[in-house]
Amino acid sequence: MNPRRLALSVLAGLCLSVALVSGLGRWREHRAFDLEATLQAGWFASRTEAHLLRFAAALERFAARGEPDRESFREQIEVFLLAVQRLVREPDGARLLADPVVAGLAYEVERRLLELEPDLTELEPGDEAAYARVRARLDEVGRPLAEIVARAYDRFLSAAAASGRLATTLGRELLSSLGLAGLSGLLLVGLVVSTVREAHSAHRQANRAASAAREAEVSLRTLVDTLPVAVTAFDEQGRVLLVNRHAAELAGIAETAALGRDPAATGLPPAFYASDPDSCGFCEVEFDRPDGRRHFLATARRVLRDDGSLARTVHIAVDVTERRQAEERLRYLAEHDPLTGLANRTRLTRALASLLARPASRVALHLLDLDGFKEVNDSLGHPAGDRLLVAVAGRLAGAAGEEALIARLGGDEFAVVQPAPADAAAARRFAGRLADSLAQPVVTSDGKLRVGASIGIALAPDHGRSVDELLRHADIALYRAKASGRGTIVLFSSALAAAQERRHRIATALESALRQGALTLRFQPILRLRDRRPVACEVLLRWPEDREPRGISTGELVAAAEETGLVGPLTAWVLEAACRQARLWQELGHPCPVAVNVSMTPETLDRLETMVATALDRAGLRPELLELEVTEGVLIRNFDQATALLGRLRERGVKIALDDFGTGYSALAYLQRFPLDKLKIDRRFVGELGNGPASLAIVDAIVRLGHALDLEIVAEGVERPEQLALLESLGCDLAQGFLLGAPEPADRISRRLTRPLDRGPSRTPRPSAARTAAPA
Amino acid sequence: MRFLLALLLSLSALATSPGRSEVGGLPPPTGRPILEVSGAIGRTNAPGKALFDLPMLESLGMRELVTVTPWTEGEQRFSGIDPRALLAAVEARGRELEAGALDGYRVVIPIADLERYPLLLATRRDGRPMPVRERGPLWLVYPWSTHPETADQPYRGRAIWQLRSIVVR
Repeated sequence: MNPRRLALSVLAGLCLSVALVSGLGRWREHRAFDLEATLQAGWFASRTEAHLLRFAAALERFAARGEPDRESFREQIEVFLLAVQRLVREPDGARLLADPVVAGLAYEVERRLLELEPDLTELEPGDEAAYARVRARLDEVGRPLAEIVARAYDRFLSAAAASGRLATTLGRELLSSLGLAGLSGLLLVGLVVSTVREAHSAHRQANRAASAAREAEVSLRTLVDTLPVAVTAFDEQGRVLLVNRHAAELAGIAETAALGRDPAATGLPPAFYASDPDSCGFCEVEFDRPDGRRHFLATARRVLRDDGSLARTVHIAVDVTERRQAEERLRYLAEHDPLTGLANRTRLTRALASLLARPASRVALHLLDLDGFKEVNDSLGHPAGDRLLVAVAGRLAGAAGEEALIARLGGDEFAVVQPAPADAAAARRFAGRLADSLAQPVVTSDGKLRVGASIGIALAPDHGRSVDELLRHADIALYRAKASGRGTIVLFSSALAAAQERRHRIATALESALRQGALTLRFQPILRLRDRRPVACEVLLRWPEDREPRGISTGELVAAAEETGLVGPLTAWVLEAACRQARLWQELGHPCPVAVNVSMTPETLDRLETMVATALDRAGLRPELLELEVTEGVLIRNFDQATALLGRLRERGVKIALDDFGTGYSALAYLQRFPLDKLKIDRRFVGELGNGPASLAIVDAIVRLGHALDLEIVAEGVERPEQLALLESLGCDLAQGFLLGAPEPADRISRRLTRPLDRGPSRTPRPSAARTAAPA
Repeated sequence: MRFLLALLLSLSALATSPGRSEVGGLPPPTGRPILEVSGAIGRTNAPGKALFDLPMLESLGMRELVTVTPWTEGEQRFSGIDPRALLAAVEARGRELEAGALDGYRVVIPIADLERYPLLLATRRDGRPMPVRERGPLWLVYPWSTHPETADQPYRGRAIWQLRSIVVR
């Protein structure tokens, strides 16, 4: 690749990046369409070029090791063929082909590839000569293709320049966008191998040339002048004996003017004669050409003796500037994320380590996870997600300032290193700025996209002195932030770590308990107040008392499950066990519905319907014998999805109860639209019954409201007889609580279920029932 | 002819060794596998995945779809299978498919698309298997003629060609 085209593609890549970062919406609207179309054409062309690189890599693997197999390799030939033919024959390429020069080049690409195809197909692994031939011809395919990309970006550049904004945005965003020249960089990667190979073979030829010098200077002349290697020779006094054509060109001097003179006086740069005589291999030196361009030379010299008396020094130099640039490019790529141009994890780790090594310096590490990125990726596709990430990178760069290091750790996770924050509050403010920078929707060709960020912060030295510790602690804080809902910022603390540790222990224990079927269920009867008969049982999960870690509450268990993704399996297990029990009771002749609490995380929301269907199916249970208790939280978070889901379950016949009513938002509008059968009055109101008029009024209101909406009302936590009496007088339908029956193992409940059936009509009707129950 | 032979072979394999071929629930492919289905599936014929060769796929029931495509000119006559038949064959349980192509392209397809549109997992065009250079061997074809909105995003990107793998999620 010549330097002009290299520079051009790097520049083109940069400008593409700038355009992406700035967002097309920032250009004047009437230009935006043109620009975008030109950009897309450029993008399409570089995609084709990316296909070429991909194929070149496949070719090299196949030729060297026969991997993957021939059939797969042939598939890759065809994949690349399609990519090229799409350029020439399909609408996506049409805009490119409007340029007659590009059209000519494109047909050339296709023709060369089709000519090459038979040889590619016949290539045998291990046949180095054949590989070298097809590789060279593949380069012939690549050349016009690269030219197309350059021209496509040229067009984009002139279109962008015409919009008048490029100049102002370029300077400001250049730094943050550098890495976005990823495609150009990829191209370079492909070239590294061949460059190095060239240099090596040239070296061997040069050595042969040097030995020819010993025999006949004339033949050396002819030979060395044709070499693409700079060769110079000096006599014992160090005077110039020979400067070959390549060396003369490179150094910018005339050989005739240099012969017989001291090299320093001829204007010959030291790089051509002053390499270290003791070094046996190549040493690499740099020199500035007369035109001001810096070049890198790999040089070596040999002292050759004639009959042990006269010594001549032959000096050879290979121009490795391109390789050096490619190496720098590689180093850059190794430390950067090719999509956004931000630093990658490697670079972040190095930078953090060096910051932490400084004595007494405070550093804040912000880990940031995008909220809502997955939705964009899923609904609009990965290219849209990529464009969004690029835009986010630009926003973060703007908000973080020049002092900060921003890295993309993968997916939608970013890290920002804030050097020397004054205190924790300063780190929080900084994180706030990062979050604010994403508040405005991102405008891309996919429309306006909205994302937010959850941020976890860890400070050094307060929260850790090593990179690992800091990363881990920031991650714990981020985890907590994500669990608390969107757009939250959390600073690490040791309490957080302890809580995390306990959750982790619980989650591990829960996982093995689930696997071993060691969890148990308790059933608490729900009685119909009218006749005191159990009409259902609430299912309660219990951590076995003799199991480590001891003393886990059901709340902790559920929280750990929700945060570790075990909530799905746990819910499925509870549903199935409960349905089996209900089926058993049905078979025993005293059917009793089971009421299962389901936590509605986004994860379970997706799978609940399937889990319910499976549980019913496996148990062979009528849906009417299953109730689901949900809390208000789900209504607030995912109203539409939850309504639709519960509506479908209800159509199957499953009953839905709203748990803990009155403690959350209790938005009445929700009640109206939410498919429900029962309303459960929170235990706190029931507990206060009899302590004053307020709770009485509240319970009364809930009962009336529920009845007006045709819902059954369940009172939870009934513990005292007077509460029960009041509930009855208010017209509450159902009740549960220690007064009426504690949560018990299923077999105990079975005995109880048969009792009212036996006694049947002997039960006295209300209200006397309340009085008889009172002394109990 | 080779196709027939492969079909015969797979049939005789089924007939002679039902015990072995039922491991994982699916008979193993006899020819070169062209599609790999993994993820939330109930039937497999390799560890954690189901591999299909062309005859296996086509035995799920061939259908035809005549449509224009956003990339080529004129109407095309595709034949292939209903992707739902494939999902049923592996007992897929999930909401979306992560599809991967021979050229490294990946896209997520909601299973709802399969219900909303009469999609075709095309194995043939004009009755002939499609070579890779013509977007084969498998192309998820949307009914672009009858449902023109599927020619735009997000559907456009889901019409994955050179399909090689599906992860059910």
